[in-house]
Amino acid sequence: MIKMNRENIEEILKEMGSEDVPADVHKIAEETSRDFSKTLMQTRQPRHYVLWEYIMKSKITKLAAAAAIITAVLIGIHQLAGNGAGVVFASVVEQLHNARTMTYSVVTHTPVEGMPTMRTEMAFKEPAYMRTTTADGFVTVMDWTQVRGISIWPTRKQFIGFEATNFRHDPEKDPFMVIENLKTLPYKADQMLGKKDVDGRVLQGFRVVEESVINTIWIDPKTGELVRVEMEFTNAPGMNKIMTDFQFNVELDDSLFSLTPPEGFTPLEVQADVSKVTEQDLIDYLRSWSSWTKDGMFPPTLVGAELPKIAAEMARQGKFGEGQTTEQQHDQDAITMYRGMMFVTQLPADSNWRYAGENVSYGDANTPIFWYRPKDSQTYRVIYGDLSVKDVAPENLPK
Amino acid sequence: MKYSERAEVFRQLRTRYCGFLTLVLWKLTGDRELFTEAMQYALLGMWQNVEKLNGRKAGAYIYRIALTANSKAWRNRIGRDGQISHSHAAIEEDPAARIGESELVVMVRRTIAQLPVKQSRAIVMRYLEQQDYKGISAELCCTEAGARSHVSKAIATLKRKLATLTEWV
Repeated sequence: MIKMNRENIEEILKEMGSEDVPADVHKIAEETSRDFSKTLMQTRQPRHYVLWEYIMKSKITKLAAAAAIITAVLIGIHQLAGNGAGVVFASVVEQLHNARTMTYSVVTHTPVEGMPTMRTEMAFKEPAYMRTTTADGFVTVMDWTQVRGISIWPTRKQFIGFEATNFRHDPEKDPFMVIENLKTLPYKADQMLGKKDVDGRVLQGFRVVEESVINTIWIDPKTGELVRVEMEFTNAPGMNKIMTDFQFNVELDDSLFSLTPPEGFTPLEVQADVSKVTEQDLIDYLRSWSSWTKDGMFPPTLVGAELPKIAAEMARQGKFGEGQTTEQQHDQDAITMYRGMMFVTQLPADSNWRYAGENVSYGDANTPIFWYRPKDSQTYRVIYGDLSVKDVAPENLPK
Repeated sequence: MKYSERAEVFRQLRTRYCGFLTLVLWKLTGDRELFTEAMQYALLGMWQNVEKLNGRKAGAYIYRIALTANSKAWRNRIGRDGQISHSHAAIEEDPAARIGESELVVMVRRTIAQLPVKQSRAIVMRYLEQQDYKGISAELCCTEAGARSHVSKAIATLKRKLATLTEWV
């Protein structure tokens, strides 16, 4: 491991600044610049041929640059044959990178038996606003510029506001990461999948494998439209998201992303001071969840934008106090869930918390499902499948 | 703007800013292949934004274009695992003696490419262009104290990001 400090950085920066530009680099710059300009200035040939020729002649220009140039200068060049498939992919990526607004539908499937498959409408607007709407109208708005959000239950005329500080940039919790994942797809796919017929359209498939996400992107090669994105998660086998109905740069009114609750809505009363949530709140949450699901399974994930939607869907299916429970119990279940989530979201990054409860049933005393390091503690608290808790040395944590 | 007008404005811009782009992009990349790619992105960015580059704020746009081009080139270069191949990191002068240093320099360059534009701009002005704070404050339309603050924040961010790759003492 390299040792360095602030002075090192400044030294390195100063050294970088004091280096002269080698003569051959000036030459490369001139040639690159001249070639680019020459291509633009050439005669009235169809421009895409000119640019294509430039791209192909450039030894080191990658598909990325090719796509960028073509996308920038031409409109409707998606009908390229042969190598054009890669260009179509790259131009879709460019469209994603440059999207000011984006809407799409997403269907989330989890392997948990009894867990409903959910369809959600997503809307994104620069710089960092998101709105999700479930099929039954449950709305969550996230405003990352304020790091705050609001969830709204239209049918019950209730809402709940929340802080999202601990969600930010955490792939497991930050729903914005899905958007960022789309907006930072590389220009070149790892694999071309060939064509398949989807709903009467012949689509070209591409695969991009990120660290823990396998993206399969389906594009209509005739129109260049992004039709479908499938995401699979290597750390959550059996869970996937399928995104369709993409629209880019449509006008989305700011009011859609307002954190002000609709008039006449009342706040969902949650025990006021969530700063005092404890490990026991998480245990209560896990116990409650396992009592709601078939086979006593724990949730597939603990926090994130999916969970309010999952909760709403469960409520729709009567899993929040169906039948025998009262309205009061219904609210209590939601509060239990909220406090459990808050315990996790308030854990600092250096707590190194991990959740491994997916596909584990309540009662499994041998399987650790959650662990974290309390502040200033040398050991970790480990919660097992029977919801017992033990203090465990770091070296004995599950691998 | 007509195509011929765009082409003429682009030609003027290229003449005016080619030296600046060469200087900044070379110092930010330190690698010929990466530099060429960044240069192509920068030229493309200029062509795409030629209308915006015809006014008073041209300088600021050029910075943004250069830094975005640099980020794109690095993004294409860095593998999925976030690592860069050592063959790309090599620096030609006495490579054996400078291996540790070159690794650090590459990490710093790569991390600059991931900084927000405002912060990377502060780094570029202060260290790569070696401007004084008076010059930086004029470019950034802020006070000298503000310029110092931008640079300081950029260094702090750089340090924080590098901390994940290195051991700090």
